[in-house]
Amino acid sequence: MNAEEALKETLLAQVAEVQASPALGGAVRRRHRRRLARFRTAGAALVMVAVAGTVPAYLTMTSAGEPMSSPTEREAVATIRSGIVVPDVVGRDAKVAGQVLKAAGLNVQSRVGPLSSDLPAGIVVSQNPPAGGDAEPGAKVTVIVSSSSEAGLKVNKPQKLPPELGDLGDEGGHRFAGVDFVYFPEGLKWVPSFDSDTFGKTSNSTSWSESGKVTDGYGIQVIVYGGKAVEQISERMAGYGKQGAEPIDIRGKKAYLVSVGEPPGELANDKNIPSGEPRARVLTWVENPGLAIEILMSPDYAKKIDADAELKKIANALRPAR
Amino acid sequence: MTDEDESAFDEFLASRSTALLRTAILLCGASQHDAEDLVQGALEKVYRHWPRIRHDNPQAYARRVVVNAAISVARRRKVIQEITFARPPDTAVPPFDVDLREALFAELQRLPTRMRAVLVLRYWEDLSENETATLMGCSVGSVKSQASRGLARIRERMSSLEGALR
Repeated sequence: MNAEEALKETLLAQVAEVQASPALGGAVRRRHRRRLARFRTAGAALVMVAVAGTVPAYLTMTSAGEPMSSPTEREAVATIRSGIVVPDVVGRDAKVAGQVLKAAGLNVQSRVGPLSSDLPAGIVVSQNPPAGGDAEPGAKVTVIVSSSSEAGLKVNKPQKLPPELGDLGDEGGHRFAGVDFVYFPEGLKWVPSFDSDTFGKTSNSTSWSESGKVTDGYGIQVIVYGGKAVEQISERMAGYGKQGAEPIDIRGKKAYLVSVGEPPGELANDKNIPSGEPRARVLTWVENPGLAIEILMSPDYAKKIDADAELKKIANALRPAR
Repeated sequence: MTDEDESAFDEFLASRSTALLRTAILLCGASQHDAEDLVQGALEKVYRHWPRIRHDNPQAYARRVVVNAAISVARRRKVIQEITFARPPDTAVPPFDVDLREALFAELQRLPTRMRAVLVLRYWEDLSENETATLMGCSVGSVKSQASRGLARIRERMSSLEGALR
């Protein structure tokens, strides 16, 4: 049997039993209605805030101008002045939402919500307390931000690196997540795409490849860990040591250059990766208590260069920016 | 949307949804449940624009939406897996007494996302090299090279299995 036939048969065998449910049409239409409903709700909430915002100003003006006659009005002034009207940020870009809430004197906590195929990533889908409610100054407002199963459509498009994350790209900068990556093997281009907090909080990751295209695989991937994520890396490294990996030295710091297996933290061996399978090489070390770095080389790219030597060169040349 | 649009959409689903679902499963190696969710999302988009696209090859449009969504899901999983696991989970099959198909499917899941997509579109959807290139927004040459590299991996895995069984 040749490979094409084997492949066709494999594909067929995998899905021969699969049938779309007859209820699919109903499910699609329900999804469509939910989507419409969400947009309408967001619109209604905006109107409500507009009203909530104008009322206190009007009452304040009248109270300053002439003495209050009706006790109900007096009360209204008192109630509204006691707190902040929570602005509506549903449907807005998460960053803008944060600015709006902070400007109103509130604190913001954002969480990533469930996958949504209807919204682009980074849009606020709900907030608590809701818009129009009263809150004490400095109160916390939790916003749920959309992640998107269509993120790939977005990831497919080049992303622009926000200045606080670095200056890679056309300008020829080499800073990413507070680290200056001074050296990379010749011919590698930055892939204009990055991930934040995908590998634990706080982590930032980006990659370089020969084509520099977001649609191709990575050649070298870099993950910069800060905050809590640094502890995870320390533990992972201790585990490498226990499993018998020999540490190496990167600018006076203990580092491990290993092939990793499964589950995370386990070194590759013949049980968790059959021999002959490609193994990605990973160089890991803790730079300081607030910074750990992992540099990963894809098996494909590793074949073309001296993988370990290049990984060490990248690590020895880089400098934390702070 | 008119009644006629609605019934045409139902006809479209009846004839195409199983194929779309199968393609989605093959592209991202997802469970049927996850793939259904993905396909529903894609079809909602088709439904949204149905009156406009129904006369203009809705099948190609739907396939493109499904393929894009599946590639992105697969790619995202792949990045995480490659970093943390170095290889996808549940593929640690011992080389002995395995079903050849299962081993090949596992190998397929390990291919780079777009390479796998090229193989699925060429050998499952039976698209031509030209059609595949148009759908994936790349050159015909890139389709050719990805397909031949992907097949080479499959071939390699086949021969290593045959070696192990001997």
